[in-house]
Amino acid sequence: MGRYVVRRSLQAVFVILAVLVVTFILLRAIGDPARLLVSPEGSRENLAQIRHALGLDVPLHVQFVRFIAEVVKGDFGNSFTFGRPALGLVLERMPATLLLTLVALGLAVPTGMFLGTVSAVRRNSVYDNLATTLAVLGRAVPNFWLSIMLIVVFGAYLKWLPPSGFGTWRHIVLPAVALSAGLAAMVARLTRSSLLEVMGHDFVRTAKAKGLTETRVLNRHVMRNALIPIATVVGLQAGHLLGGAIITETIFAWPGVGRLLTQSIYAYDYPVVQTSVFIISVTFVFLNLAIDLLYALIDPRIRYE
Amino acid sequence: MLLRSRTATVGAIILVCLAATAAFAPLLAPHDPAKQDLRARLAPPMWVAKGTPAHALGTDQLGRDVLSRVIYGTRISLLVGVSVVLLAGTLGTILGLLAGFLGGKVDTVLMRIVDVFLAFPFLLLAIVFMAMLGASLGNIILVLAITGWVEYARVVRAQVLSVRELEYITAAKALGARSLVIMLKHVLPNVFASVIVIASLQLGTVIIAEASLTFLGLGIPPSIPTWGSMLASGREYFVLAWWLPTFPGLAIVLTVLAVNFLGDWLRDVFDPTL
Repeated sequence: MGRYVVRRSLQAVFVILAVLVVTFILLRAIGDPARLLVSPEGSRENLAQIRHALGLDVPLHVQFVRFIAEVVKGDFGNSFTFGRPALGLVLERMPATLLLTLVALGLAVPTGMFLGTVSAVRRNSVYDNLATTLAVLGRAVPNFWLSIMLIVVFGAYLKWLPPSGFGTWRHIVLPAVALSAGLAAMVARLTRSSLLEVMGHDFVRTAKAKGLTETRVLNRHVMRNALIPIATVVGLQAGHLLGGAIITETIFAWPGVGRLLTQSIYAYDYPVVQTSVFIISVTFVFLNLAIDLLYALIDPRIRYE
Repeated sequence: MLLRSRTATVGAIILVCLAATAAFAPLLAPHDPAKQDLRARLAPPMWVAKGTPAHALGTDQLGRDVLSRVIYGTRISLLVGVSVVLLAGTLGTILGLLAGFLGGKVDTVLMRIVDVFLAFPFLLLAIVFMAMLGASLGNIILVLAITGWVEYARVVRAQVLSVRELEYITAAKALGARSLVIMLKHVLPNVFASVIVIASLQLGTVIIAEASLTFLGLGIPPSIPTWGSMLASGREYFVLAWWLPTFPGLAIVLTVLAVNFLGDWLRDVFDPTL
């Protein structure tokens, strides 16, 4: 186990380095930010001056070495548009993103498990068909379209909830529902198939034969075993919520890292784009690492070489 | 066999209809999808008061016919979806075959690259690539293919590793067959079922990803009528005109549903382990 932890952590470090290289190289090709900063009447000298000030006039590999040296010091450069350190800007937005993804996760997992359990226990009933239909739809409805429709229906027509923005708990309902739908559908489908699979085992028949009630068999014997695949998928998908949050935040004007990222892309604000991509990826890598390690604790049958 | 599954049959029928719609869009569309008519702007669908049969699903803020645009949008969604799946599937299968069959350094390097790709949330990677390359039809296909090959490579590699230990491969080697021949004639057919299954399950994801990126302004340029661009362009009018966001969205949902129905069926038939 110890060796596995070390090897897995080294792998995570390697991946983060690669993430840095990729984002650095990619973003140099977006466009020339100096052109955006210089006024239309500005001269060629002005442009050269700004390029020099931003460090864009030296060869790429020199820029990269400088970039890495600064990243190690926690300095990702100043935002071109805000004129403030990019790292601070991104970290300020992080709590909003974490709040949104956690609430979405908190909605998706219980909803999905509830629907999936009802489906499995009342197999082929009206409930099962309804829940399965919902799960199938949840996978086919694009997150951004659901967001738009929620805004139109609940924000604009019914006026039950604010259509966008940040502040009270009422603001988080629509974006969290939009973000959680896909995951909830996946959890429902998985819970159903996982429960049905476990129910077919001999130990469940034994539990029933010794006179345990239906609920007790379900809670103590079936659910525990069915939880393992569900936990894995939830873990893997939790990271992908971060990706989905980019779109959800942009649509709902939710002041998180995702919205900052899209705004910075439109503004050619390299340092902020780099920092956002870096922070989102690092969060993702560590999340996956934590889940892999936790997984070994949850299920004692798993052994690592 | 297909007919035994009700959902798969429905999915197949819908997909055939969609393919026909895409192929015959100029014949089916009642109007030119790009033609503006400012006098007829924001007309509601025909079954609502003030709607006209001339514009069955209403018009947008520039008076363009929503039905015609939805019909033409089918082309882009299917074109992007199928091209991406073909490109990503081919690339991933080749790399997976190489990694699994050659092993050693090639395998290590390819699998580390796979790790890096998996280290990014898929959408983040696609957004960054598109931001760098700029919105265009070719670029979106390229970017989604570049971010989509990983799954194929992993599965094909794992299967090659088990297949290559089988006796008939040893027999082929003993008969003096060259590596390339063994890979193409003996290994590839064995991993093909999984590739088809992954492809069919990926198609829906790709269609949604294209629409999402186009919606963000990072996919297909707004001049081309697509479901994603329809959802992006009329944003300020959505509250006034519910039909603007509703129909392109329903088109996406219907397409993805059909694709998923077929994909789930293929998985159950060919490779229930995936």
